[in-house]
Amino acid sequence: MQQILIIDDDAIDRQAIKRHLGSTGIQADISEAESGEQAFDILSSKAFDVVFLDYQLPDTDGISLLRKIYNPESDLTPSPIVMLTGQGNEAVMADALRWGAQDYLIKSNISRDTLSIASRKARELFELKSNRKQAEDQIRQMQKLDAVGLLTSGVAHDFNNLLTVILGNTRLANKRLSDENADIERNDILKKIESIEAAANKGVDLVKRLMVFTRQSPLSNEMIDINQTIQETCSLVKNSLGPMVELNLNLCDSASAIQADAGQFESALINIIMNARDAMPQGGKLMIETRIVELDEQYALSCPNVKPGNYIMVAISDSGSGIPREIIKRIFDPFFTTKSTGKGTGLGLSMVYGFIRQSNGHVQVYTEEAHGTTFKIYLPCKNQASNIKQLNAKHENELTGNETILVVEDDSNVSNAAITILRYLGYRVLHAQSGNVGMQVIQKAKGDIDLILADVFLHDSINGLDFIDEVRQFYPDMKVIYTSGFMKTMLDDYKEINEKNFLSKPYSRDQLAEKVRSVLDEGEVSDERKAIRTRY
Amino acid sequence: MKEKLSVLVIDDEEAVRSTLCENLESCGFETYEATDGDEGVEFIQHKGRPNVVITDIIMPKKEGIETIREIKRRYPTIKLIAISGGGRVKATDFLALAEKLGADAVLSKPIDMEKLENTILELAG
Repeated sequence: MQQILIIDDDAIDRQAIKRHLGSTGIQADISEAESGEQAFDILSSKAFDVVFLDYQLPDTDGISLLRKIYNPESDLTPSPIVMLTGQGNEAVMADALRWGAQDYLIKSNISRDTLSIASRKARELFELKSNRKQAEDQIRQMQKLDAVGLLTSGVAHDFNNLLTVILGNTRLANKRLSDENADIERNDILKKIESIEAAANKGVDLVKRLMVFTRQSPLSNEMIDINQTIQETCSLVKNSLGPMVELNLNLCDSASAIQADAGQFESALINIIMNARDAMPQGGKLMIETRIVELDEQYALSCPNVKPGNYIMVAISDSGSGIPREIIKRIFDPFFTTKSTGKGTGLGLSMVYGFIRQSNGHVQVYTEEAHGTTFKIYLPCKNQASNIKQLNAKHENELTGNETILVVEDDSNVSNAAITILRYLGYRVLHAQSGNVGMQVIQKAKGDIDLILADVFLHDSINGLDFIDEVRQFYPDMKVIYTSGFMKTMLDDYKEINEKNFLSKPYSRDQLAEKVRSVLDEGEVSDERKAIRTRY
Repeated sequence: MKEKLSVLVIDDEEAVRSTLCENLESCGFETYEATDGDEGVEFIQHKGRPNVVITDIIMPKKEGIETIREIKRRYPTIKLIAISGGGRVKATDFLALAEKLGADAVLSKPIDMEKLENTILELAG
């Protein structure tokens, strides 16, 4: 027996629907409502197999009623809904689907067949969506438990330390109190009890943090303090990292609040951190940094999902083995894993990706085999106007130039953006995809190049640093800007790279303009360099 | 009177260190503390050799495995007890490794104080 609700104030229309339904042979228990208010009460108390909802109601309209019962969390209304409208009311139909109805029917088209098709479609779509929602929730929970599994050994370590303190002090107190000959010093015993209490409280705190982390809760969209969340997560994972991994934080004070699900953000961090750990079996450096960055129009052009604006960037870098090029494109795929059975479900990074997309964020991965990997997560700043320095018009004018710049970059998206920006600023731009081609370009230009913008890691080529070394054998004063997706802190081993000549990718137009100008203007071109230029 | 046995406790957790030391002192041992392997080795170098060194295995600076190796190489007569509460790899894995590298005894946390005291006496008494 199907439970059906007809919401329509016109008794003749209700009758017609009942008649058509009867002729389909469907066994139905039919309820009726004549107003929005009445319908709302019925819908709130009972689930139906299908609801036919007329757009025109005496006290409200069908869309308003839908909006009232629609649950954005599940993207569903409490029961499957077929909206009934008059001819040519496309806006209502679109709105109905937007607010959770599964199908619509034009009233003049109602017949036995259209009713039965629409009600079946509504039921099937409704079921599909609610199943999918359930599956997604399950996967999220599984993923979370996965992360907890990774944490367990570290937490066990903490607990065993706390238990050592508790048991050790209990034994001491016991021993002193039970020795009949000893002078019992109250303060001494009290001190033991305080130590026990402090350790037990730490245990309570540890359990609480674990519980918060594993709680099964829907995605919430609260304001979270990003730096604080990172610090708390790190204190939770630090013992799982092992002694050989050196964890450092470099958090930017102004990177404060974002709107996101705290639990999901923690899971995402833990996932990336644990992957980083696994990439460094011999130990290494793990660095977490926050910055406020601007992803500008130019950048958004190369990444279809990115809206230009200010973002908080969380960069997680490791000095591990790097991700092989052949798998880099697959790392965010669900169930893709390089770990052996039982070591990982392959859901970790796909969940990270899902979280970032849901939060209107963006993620970039820079990796270099044998050097390491950097995950840069961008989450939108709550207050778009604040935080980042805006260049004024005058300033921007000063950032143009007509010098010649050679861009050595193998990623065509990046080089295209850089070339466009530099040309816009008035520079003459040459481009090479590799170090070898770069050398040829320089020879052809007879050294008449004022600045080289060189990617540090170039594939199928000598790297940017060796390339510049080679260039400087001929042109010792050649000005250089090094760029890389890695954070500067992960390139500290390269002494020739410093804050002044380094630009981290992705860079905005203003950042590139400013950096180029500052390097070009630094210690103005000397006569000596001009002489060298003539010589070659 | 028989001289007290001296024990150096290396652990990065202050509360663990002081608990171990107090318990050992209550049993008549003389104790010294160090917060990491470097400090421990420095202590031995400058302040004298203890009869027994107890070292945690997972520590931030110089970790225990390295410490054990160094102390055993430079001061083969000092008895070494490795302790661990687990961590990245199962505790027992680390402890097995510690034994292989020359620890004279291994104990996992939470530490059974009586067992620790007996172990010290067996090794150095």
